[in-house]
Amino acid sequence: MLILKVLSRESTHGFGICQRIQQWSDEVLSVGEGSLYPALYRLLDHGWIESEWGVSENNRKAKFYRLTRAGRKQLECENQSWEQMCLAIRRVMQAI
Amino acid sequence: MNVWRRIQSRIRALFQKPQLDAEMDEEIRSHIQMRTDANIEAGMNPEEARFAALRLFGWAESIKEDCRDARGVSWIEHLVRDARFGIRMLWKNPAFTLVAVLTLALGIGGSTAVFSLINGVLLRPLPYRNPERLVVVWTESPASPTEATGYANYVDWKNQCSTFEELAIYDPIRPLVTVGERTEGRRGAMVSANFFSILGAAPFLGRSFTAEEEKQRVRVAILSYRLWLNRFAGVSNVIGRTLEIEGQPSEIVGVMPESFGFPGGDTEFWELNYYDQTNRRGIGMWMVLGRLMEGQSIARAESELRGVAARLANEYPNDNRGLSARVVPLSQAVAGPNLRVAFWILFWAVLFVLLIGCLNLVNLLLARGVARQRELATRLALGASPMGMAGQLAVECVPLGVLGGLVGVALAHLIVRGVQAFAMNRIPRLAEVHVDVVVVSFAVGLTALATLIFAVIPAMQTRVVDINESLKEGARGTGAARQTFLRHTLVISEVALAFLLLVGSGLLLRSFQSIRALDPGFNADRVLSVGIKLPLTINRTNSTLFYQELSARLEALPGVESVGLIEDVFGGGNSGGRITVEGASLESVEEVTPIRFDSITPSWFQAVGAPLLRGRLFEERDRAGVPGVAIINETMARRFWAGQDALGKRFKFGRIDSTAPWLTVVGIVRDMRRERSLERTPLPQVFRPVAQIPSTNMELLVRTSSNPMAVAETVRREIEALDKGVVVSPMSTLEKRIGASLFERRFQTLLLSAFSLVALLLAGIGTYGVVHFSVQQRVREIGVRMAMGARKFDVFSLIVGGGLKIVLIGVGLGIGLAVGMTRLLERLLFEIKPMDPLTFGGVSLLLLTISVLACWLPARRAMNVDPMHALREQ
Repeated sequence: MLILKVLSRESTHGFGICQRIQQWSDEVLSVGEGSLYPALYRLLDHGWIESEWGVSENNRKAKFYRLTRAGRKQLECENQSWEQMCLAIRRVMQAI
Repeated sequence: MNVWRRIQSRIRALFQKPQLDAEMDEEIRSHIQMRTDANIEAGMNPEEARFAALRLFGWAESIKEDCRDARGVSWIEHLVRDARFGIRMLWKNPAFTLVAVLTLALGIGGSTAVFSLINGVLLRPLPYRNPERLVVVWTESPASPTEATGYANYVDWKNQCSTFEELAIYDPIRPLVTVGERTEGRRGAMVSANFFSILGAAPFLGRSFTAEEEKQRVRVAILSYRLWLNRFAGVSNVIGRTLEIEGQPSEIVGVMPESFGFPGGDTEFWELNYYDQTNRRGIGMWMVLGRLMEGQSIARAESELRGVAARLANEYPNDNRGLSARVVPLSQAVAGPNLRVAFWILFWAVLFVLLIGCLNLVNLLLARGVARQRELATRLALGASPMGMAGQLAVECVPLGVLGGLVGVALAHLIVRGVQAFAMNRIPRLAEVHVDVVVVSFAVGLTALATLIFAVIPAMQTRVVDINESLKEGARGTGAARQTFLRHTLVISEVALAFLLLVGSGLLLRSFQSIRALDPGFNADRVLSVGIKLPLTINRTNSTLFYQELSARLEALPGVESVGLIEDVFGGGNSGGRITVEGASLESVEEVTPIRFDSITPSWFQAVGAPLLRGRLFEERDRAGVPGVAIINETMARRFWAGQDALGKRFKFGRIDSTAPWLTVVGIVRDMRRERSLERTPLPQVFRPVAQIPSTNMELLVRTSSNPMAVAETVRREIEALDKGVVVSPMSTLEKRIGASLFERRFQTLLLSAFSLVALLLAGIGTYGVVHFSVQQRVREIGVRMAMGARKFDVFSLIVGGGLKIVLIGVGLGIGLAVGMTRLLERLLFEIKPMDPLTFGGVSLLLLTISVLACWLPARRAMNVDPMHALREQ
């Protein structure tokens, strides 16, 4: 979901995704950078993102990922269910 | 989700793997570079920055593997890898491969062949329009449920029944047909005008018969494709030409397509019924075909028809008393119940053979698995998942299955061809059998199932591999108890199945034997049999003279003992009639009795070696014009003159008021089994001198002193010398004709015996395998025993005893199975009980003998174990 969210803002490469997630989460969410890739490939396989070779801002060849229409829909979906989940958890926590 | 795009990406993943991998490598490299750059920017030195980047990225190779998995096709790649490994293993063990593939191919090929026979002969709908609505209507008499029908009754059925869309009639005939110069006996059928339309068939050249023609009794004929091709060179202007049938011209109005073959595949022409039989009732000459109305059931049609038949019986008691009707689906009339049972039994038999073959393979693979146990244990110890390894072992067997299946289908094709060549025209619809889509899908399914059996069972064994034990130095096969149990269970089931099959074929063999041992009532040795048809230039009255002359000339030949002629030796043509015995009261209405009557020449009884019991044979004085005489058989005498002396008594055909002449019984002969097959009990038989009942269509029987076929050519020349126009059918011997009448039974018995012999062989190999393996495993134990003073014989009995124990359990189980299942065979047995003790005993003995042999070979090896050698080696 996070990857999709990042890509909904801008198309970028794997390294870019890592950095965005770290930045936006104020360095709270930082995982092994490598484990990003299997996830990316799975998303590719689902057809939620597309890839394309390009040149990064500091002139390195990199693969850029872009959200597809199906991916956008999926993001909305996941967003919704995430909100519901959060709401539900919040309610439970408040009840106690 | 776009499925198509997904499939595309999968295919790419499969076939462009190196490219994808390269891209992935590059992407990862660039990621690490970027992180390194970022680190340097943050103030690390380059070396440090690179290590930090790598550390943060994680274990690159395992991540790559995960990435590859994410492409969703890794399972296919693994499958292909395992299958490749399997193929290499097959290649490396050619002997094993050969045995395994042959076993599989035999089982799959045999099953597929039998299935394609069943599919073509029994399952596939008949090649006519709406075949499920086609039926055969029989006249049912107290003597037989399937009699032919009189014309007038057919007309009334047709007019008074509402459940039938249509009824049609046909009668198979074999008249003399002249085309150009050649006159030959040809198979044909006399039919009603609607015969073709009821079957939904039409000529491809010319037209069909019309109802108007039938009414006018015009003589018209339609050719079969084959006759048209062979005798008219396939020219299209054949329409309008004439076919001479028994000397009478018949106009050719059409040619049927090649695919049409009813009533038989060998029917050469169809002639429109031109008889005037509007008053013929009772049992007649016609086979009746019916097409049910849409939505009508056979039961409904039959009950309506029975109602009509009952009315007719009341209305015309003279002819129709006691007669009813029966409706049978055409498909069942084409392939009778005996054939059905036989085919299905063969099918199950060959499936059992396949099963035994699979169990054998499981055994072989298990033995191989033991050899690989250390390898498996090592891999398990290194962290391979047991499920994954079981999967791998299973997949390794798939190439074997595929190979077996391929060879099997090829074999099936050959077997079907062989059966067709062997049994054409003797089993209905055989020409329609081929390996088609249904058959191939059956073979594929069967192969998959077989592969499942022999792939999965051995693979399950990975679960019992005990890593610790297997890796220990010098350890022998572990999990041994369980494996041994499994292997023994396999062999026990093999033996039990083989026993079942052997009992089945044993029972059939015994039945065949007891039929062959039947006394036919005549002596068929050294008798030449020839069908002759007199030309139209010899009329009925002259025929007697011709037969006399022919007999005299042939009897003068060296090597000929006696010569006789009869209308029909084994036919079943005229089987039903009424007999009125002189002195019976007017009120006693005789029912229709199945009965046979034949015209013969005086010396016929000598020619076939049938003894006269009482009275005299026919003589010169039994001519036309003098009071009729008859010779009857014992059954006839018992049936009509029970407790009296039949000699000198008089009887006549028909009811008491019939105008048929009285016949005096002058002789009584022994019963002869002449009802198509030896199996049937003799009917009452009446023989008349051909001088009084002339016939132009006879069978000539020549008893010789040596080989009957040796005089065949001379006989043909003599007939020709007497009259060139006589049509002589191919020469045969009485022995061969009896053999031919047993064809179907011989076919079943032969096939089932072949299958059960294969089963026996496989079970023998299975037993050998298990015992051999146990000897291999116990070499050290045997060495110890011998070192402790066991004699060779002790070792021998240890091994053989162990093997026999398994076999005995198998035989016991087999007896249980057989007791339950041989009853299904009952229909095919003749004078043999399904639990025939001789068969059961013989089969047990046979199986035990084979098993002793199978145990003896490994046991000999065990006896020759050198204790020193054995102990030192392990």
